[in-house]
Amino acid sequence: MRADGRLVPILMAVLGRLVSITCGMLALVGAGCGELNDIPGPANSNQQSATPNTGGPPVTGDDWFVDIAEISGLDFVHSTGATGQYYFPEIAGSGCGLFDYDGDGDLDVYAVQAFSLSELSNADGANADGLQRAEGSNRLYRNDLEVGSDGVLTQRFVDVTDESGVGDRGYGMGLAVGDYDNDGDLDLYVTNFGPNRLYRNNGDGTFTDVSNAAIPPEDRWSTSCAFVDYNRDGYVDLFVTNYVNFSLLENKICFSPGGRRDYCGPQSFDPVSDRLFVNNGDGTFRDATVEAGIDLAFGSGLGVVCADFNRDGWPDIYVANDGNANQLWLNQRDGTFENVALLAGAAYNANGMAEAGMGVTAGDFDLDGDPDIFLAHLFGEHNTLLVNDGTASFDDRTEQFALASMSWSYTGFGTEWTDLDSDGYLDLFLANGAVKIVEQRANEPYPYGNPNQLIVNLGPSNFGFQDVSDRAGSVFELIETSRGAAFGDIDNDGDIDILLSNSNGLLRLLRNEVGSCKSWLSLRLVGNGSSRDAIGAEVRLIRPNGLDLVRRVHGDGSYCSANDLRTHFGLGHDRGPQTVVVAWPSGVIERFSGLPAMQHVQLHEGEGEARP
Amino acid sequence: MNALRGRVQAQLVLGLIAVIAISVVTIMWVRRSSLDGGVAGVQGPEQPINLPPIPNFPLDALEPAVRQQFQAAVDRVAASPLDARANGRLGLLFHAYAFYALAEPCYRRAIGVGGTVAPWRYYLGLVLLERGEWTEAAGEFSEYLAVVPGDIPALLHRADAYRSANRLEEALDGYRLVISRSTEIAQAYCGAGQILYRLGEFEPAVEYLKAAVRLAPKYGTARYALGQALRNRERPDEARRELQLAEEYQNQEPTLDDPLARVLDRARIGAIEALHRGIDLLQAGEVDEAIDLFETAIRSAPDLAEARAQLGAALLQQGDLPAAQGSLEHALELEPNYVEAIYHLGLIAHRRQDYAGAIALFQRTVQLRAEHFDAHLGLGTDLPKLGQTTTALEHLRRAMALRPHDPRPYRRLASVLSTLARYEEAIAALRLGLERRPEEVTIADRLAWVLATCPRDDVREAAEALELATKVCRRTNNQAPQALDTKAAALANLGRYDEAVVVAQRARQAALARNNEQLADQIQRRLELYQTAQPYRQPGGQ
Repeated sequence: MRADGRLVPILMAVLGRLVSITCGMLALVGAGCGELNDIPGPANSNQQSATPNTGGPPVTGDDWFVDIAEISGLDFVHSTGATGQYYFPEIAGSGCGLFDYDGDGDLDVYAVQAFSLSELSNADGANADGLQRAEGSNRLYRNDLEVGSDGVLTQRFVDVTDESGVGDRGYGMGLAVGDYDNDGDLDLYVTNFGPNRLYRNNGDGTFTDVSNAAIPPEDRWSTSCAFVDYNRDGYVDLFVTNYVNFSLLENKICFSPGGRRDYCGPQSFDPVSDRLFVNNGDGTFRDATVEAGIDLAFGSGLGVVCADFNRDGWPDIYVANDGNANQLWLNQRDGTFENVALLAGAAYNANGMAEAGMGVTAGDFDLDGDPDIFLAHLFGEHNTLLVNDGTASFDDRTEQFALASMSWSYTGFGTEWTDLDSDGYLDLFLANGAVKIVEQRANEPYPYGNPNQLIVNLGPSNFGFQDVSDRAGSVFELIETSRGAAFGDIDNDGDIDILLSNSNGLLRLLRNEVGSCKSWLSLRLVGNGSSRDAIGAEVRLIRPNGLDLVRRVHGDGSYCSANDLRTHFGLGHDRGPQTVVVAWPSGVIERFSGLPAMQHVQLHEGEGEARP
Repeated sequence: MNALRGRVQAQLVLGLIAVIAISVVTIMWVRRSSLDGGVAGVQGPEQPINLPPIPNFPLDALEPAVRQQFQAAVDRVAASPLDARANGRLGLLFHAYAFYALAEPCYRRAIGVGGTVAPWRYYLGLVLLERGEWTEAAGEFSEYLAVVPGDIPALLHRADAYRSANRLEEALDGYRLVISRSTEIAQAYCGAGQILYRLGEFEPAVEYLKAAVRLAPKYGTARYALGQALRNRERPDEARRELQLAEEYQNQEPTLDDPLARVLDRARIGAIEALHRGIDLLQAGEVDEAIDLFETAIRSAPDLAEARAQLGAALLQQGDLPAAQGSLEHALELEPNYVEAIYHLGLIAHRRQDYAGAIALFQRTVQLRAEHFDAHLGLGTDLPKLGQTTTALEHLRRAMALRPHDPRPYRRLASVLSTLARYEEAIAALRLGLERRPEEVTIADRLAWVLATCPRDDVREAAEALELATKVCRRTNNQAPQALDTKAAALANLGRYDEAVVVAQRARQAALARNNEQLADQIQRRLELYQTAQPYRQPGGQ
């Protein structure tokens, strides 16, 4: 059946570059359609100009991404609280998130905050237990996006932290977003260096802290986390990545090679086990770490991504560890997991070396239908591309795809496979920032800055990637210490924008100025039988004249951050109606036809054309 | 002919690119020289316009000995900014301390001012490798090789650079060139094998990689690449073995005779360097040398708690308990919660058979670091000596969870459980350990021992015990006294006393050959039982 009856265009189709965004009295006129994919790329049958371009995008003088944080009311400034004690958590930074907490159809912003650990270390017996700051907290900003009758968007963020009740005061690391109680609104789990917190969304713009009643305590140093319905019972479970066993009492003193005081690395501390909490279906979780076998292998975990790597219909879990073997937990379909990373070629790089895994993302960049893994690593290593053969067997092909040299000089954290130019191919963004003093910046007060990177996928026919940061706008010239990055369509114009957290720096919101120049389709999936948020659903966009595009509903990946749960497809120049096949986590497979391009559409489980 | 023409065209294009690149670099130098001042204002007016500026670098933050080293080098450049050697030596210092971005301009200056430039090109190539500028690095090594043809390290580094730059054919040619000059360089076989794997030529890749591990059996990278290649040839068992070995030998690379690299190593001084080198040596079992370096570090930085703690650990390895204790206590004076120092003091108490003291220190260790494997193991070992077996079992189970593939907690758990006559649980623990570490002979031996000598008839499995013991003996070349002792016990339990006597005699001889008289005496007592047609049973009852 056609899905027309349930199509809900959330906003009017965006009118290309005619759209301008105003913030209060200030009008921001969008840049011209400088296109990332005008660099050599696959010929598109619908493309009006197929003239090969060997030098990059047209020189328009316009930025491809523009930071609109300040003018739209995002005034968050992160502080590591560093006072010269070089406490290890200070260098880890914090993440950020994009999710529609109030269900009004636009993405709101959650920013995670840290604070000074030095004051606590002076307290008797201070350790990670019960760490709370006196002032300042994580912040929630409501997106008051409005569309005028003339198509003009007005975007303003309002700090609603206090009234919403999610101003967590722990030493913040990251978050995950999901509808764990299937009541139709998005809940929030916050990780800390110290006790984590679970906030249940009350559906009226407020949250209730249910940490004590609803979930076993986790008070170690947690980092990235992910909601995942691993047992496919229709309720999302929760995987929490833990880093190392560090306490303020046990702060070690480390030095750079020349004897200068600097932050320690993870090898100075013991790694700790990750945690898996299974959803009881009654609004509570219980600890399933041991029964699921997750305690049998662990490292210094910083990143996690959940996807069906071996294509058996069950979600698997991949954990990026800092300096030791990564884990690939294959779902055994009986409530347990087995770590197969070593034999699957996913534990180490091509030289058999453990790398400093920070951020991680999984996506089908090569259009063969399976999720491939990309890991952000340390300066002096390269970021690593692990290509999946469809059976959860991986090969490190970083160098073949020209991704090695472009990352060698930077330390990467937040990253995501995402189609930033809406050409159908998954590109990469990298939030970079060092963890050791950058020698050229040794004179600076916070000498850990690196530029961020935008790397475009040239498509299968060109078989490679290109770093286009030097053409992507002035925000890519900034030298900051970036950590978390969340990806989503903040202005509902059909392209993916980027929320970026900086250690000891401003939260930035990079509005995409080029992605909506091309056609797109955005889907919000609503489960019925599957979990309500449909996390883990796989959406295949059928392309009669090309390889299908496969995306999954996910908020995980990147570093300590939560992404837009809507699924975005870049359609290139194809503006015709689209067909998708959805594999819901429940096992139901449905086809939805006639979906209009350039629209945000909701798809409900059980209302498509059933497929065997 | 076409191929040749293509190659010539390619070379012309490459040449053109090189000319353009050199021009760009020159222009950049000119621009930078006109914009930047050098460190401490040492940029003289006589400097050629195409030299990069001397890098600016704050020396204040360095430890005193290193700062003096740098200051002297900077002063030399200040005095003679056009002296290649002065610039090159400053580059060497930056390079030695991993300040690669700062080393690069120094080497370029050394090359730019002329004279004997070959070594500086080599070092510049190394720095460019570290910075991920692989094509440029290959160019520098080629320049170096034009002056020092056939230099193996440079040939190898150039091939590595090409491989990283995804110029696979040139890299493969490079590795093969190394092999043609020396068949002893495992890195060249490994590199060639990795490229062939990447090109999809799996069988030749396997051959090259096998050659690499023949030359260097503990070469982790080669093992890993071999495992990957075997996995793709659908030889999963071989692949698994190689990958597990790769994990075991991770970061172990064969040494390469490289005089220029040795100069770099020698350039590093200072407390931190001495400490790190000492740790490396200690891990390699070179305790005396490690102690020298820790003492050097302490002389340079008396407040460096880690150096004192490491010295204590090294002295403990040497058996000098009083000196070890002094050093560890000094570390704790500097950092009262230094976990490793507390743990090692616990080990000293254990060695002195002060089990109560050891337990207190191990408990303090796990209080500070709940997942300290060795401390849990220590508690699991020492608590039973004070009769606290229940708590000991908890710690051993915790240790098993922390390191599921370490054989020691399984063995000790089985030992404690056996003393409590909980034989089924002991056997279950050992079976679990064997499942996780099937190659681990110590677990297999322990399991065979319990199965052969358990006092309870319903638990003993004599046939399985003999099978396990025989395997262990085979894998230890019939030289391990414990394994032979176990086999003898298993034979006796099956009523095969004549064979048991022969094997027990061999076990006793092996124990004596290892100066383990205590074990030899125990075997002798069992031997006497076998000679009178009696099996051995562990103490305990039905």
